[in-house]
Amino acid sequence: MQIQLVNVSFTYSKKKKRAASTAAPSVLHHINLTIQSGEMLAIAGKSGSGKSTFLQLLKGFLAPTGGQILLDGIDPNTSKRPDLFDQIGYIFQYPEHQLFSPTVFEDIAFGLQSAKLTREIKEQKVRKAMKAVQLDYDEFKDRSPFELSGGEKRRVAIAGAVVLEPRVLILDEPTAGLDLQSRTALFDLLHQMNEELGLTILWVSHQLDEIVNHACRLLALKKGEFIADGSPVAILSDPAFLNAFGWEEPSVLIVSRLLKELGITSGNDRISPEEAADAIAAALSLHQQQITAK
Amino acid sequence: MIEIQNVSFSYIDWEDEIDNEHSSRVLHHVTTSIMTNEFVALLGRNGSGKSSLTRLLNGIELPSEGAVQVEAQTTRNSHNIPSIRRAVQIVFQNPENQQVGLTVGEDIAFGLSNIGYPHEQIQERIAWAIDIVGLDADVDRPVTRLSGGEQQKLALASVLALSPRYLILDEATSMLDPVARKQFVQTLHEARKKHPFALIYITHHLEEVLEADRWILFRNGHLYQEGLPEQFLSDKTLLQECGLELPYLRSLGLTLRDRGIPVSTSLDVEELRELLCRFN
Repeated sequence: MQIQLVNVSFTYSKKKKRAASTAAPSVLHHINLTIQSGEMLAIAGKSGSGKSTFLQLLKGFLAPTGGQILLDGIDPNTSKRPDLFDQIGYIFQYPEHQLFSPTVFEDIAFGLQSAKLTREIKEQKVRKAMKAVQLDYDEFKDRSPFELSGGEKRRVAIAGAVVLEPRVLILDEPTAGLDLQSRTALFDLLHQMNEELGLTILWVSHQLDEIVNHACRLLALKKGEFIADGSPVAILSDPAFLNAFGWEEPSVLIVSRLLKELGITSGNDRISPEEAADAIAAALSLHQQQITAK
Repeated sequence: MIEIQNVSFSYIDWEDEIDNEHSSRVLHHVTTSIMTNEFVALLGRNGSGKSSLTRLLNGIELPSEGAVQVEAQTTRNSHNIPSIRRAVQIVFQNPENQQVGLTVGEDIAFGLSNIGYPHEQIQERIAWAIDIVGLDADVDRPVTRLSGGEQQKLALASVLALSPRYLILDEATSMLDPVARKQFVQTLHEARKKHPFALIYITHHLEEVLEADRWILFRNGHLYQEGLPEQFLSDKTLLQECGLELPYLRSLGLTLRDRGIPVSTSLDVEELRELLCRFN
């Protein structure tokens, strides 16, 4: 699904009120951008920059106060096609706080209720969603979601969105509060859904390392405007951009660049600490050999 | 000081469950103490017992076995609870869970009027709290118009206003961008310099707690190890078992040392540059 924003603005204050009070800050200003099907895209910015508002506009929880959102070329807000928003799955911050059913199965199947499906089809869909989030159907279906670990709960919550077979998945800070293993597993899962099901994945992140490692495109939002849009490696090593946010360049980028500049490595932009150490050790020993030879 | 003496805990209250079914226990025989004005990091995987322990420290939950004493007052005696709750404050992961007011000002005022803070000084205290956390919002801003990160700052402001002696932060920086997270931690340390309090900090990100006085590592509900951060910073495997990842440069420094290249454990970019330029 192609998502297009044409001159989109949004403000929380109603027009009437704005006349009375001077404080009617617009949250998003004149945004123009296109997100193609199958992108893996991270959104970053300070708190209050409009990230969550932006995501809610894409899902149709909010309607733009100016401009248009087009899903595959159609504006769901004006052409009475709210069903188009159903193709976008939305995972809130800390989605596990919204689990409420006695069993994992019922929680995941909740979104299917209004669809009047037969028991068999419902089961099939839940099975498929659980497989997509790598939860074993027989092991987990009858368990209470409340007794699962943090990472497992979050998978149940994601399955609850995936079961509706969305074409786009939006996640608001999906790794907040997760330990290393759960974070790694979650991104394995997102990459897999992106590659195998062709899902567009959009997520908000505050972890620059996570963005460097997993995103193909980064949108950086400041005071309601996207001030950067492009390759995460290029953006996050651009001093002008980093200055605008007061962010520090991720160490992985600094080290990768340093090694490349010195000719120690040839072109790896995101070198791991182990690879970097190996390359440095090799360069050092070569240097020593040269000294002894002289 | 908070003393945690041989504490076990299960969310299920049935006695037979505790006798027979150890798997329902989230904490097993934990003994440690939190000193006055200490900065302690509680680390471990999701479900390892960190958050559960903090819920026992101010009597939100009571231990199934053992005892928790805050400045010599046990949490088991309900008469002690009001003063314990005042001394030990928590900022939770999800700030929405602890909002009570409709506006920023009301939210901060709620706790203050609850503890009988002099009415005429409340407005001043609210302004102080908003300022100290760097929240960019006036007192009349509805809490529903705050972003996730701003809500986290508000939650911190609301508890700092109450001058806690022990402050527990349960992943309270998770919704902040890197700069805001750094500022938040700095703000805390500055606030601690002016009005010392103990800081009990739960996180999955080590770079936030490199300056802690002590790390306590939890595994499967057990207090696994505790000590100075330096003791653990060279043990990648142990940290990984606890769901933690070394910061990039630390990890690079350690790996270089493993390869016989003498760099300091707290390797920084400058040191690396010097090392590399020496032979290039």
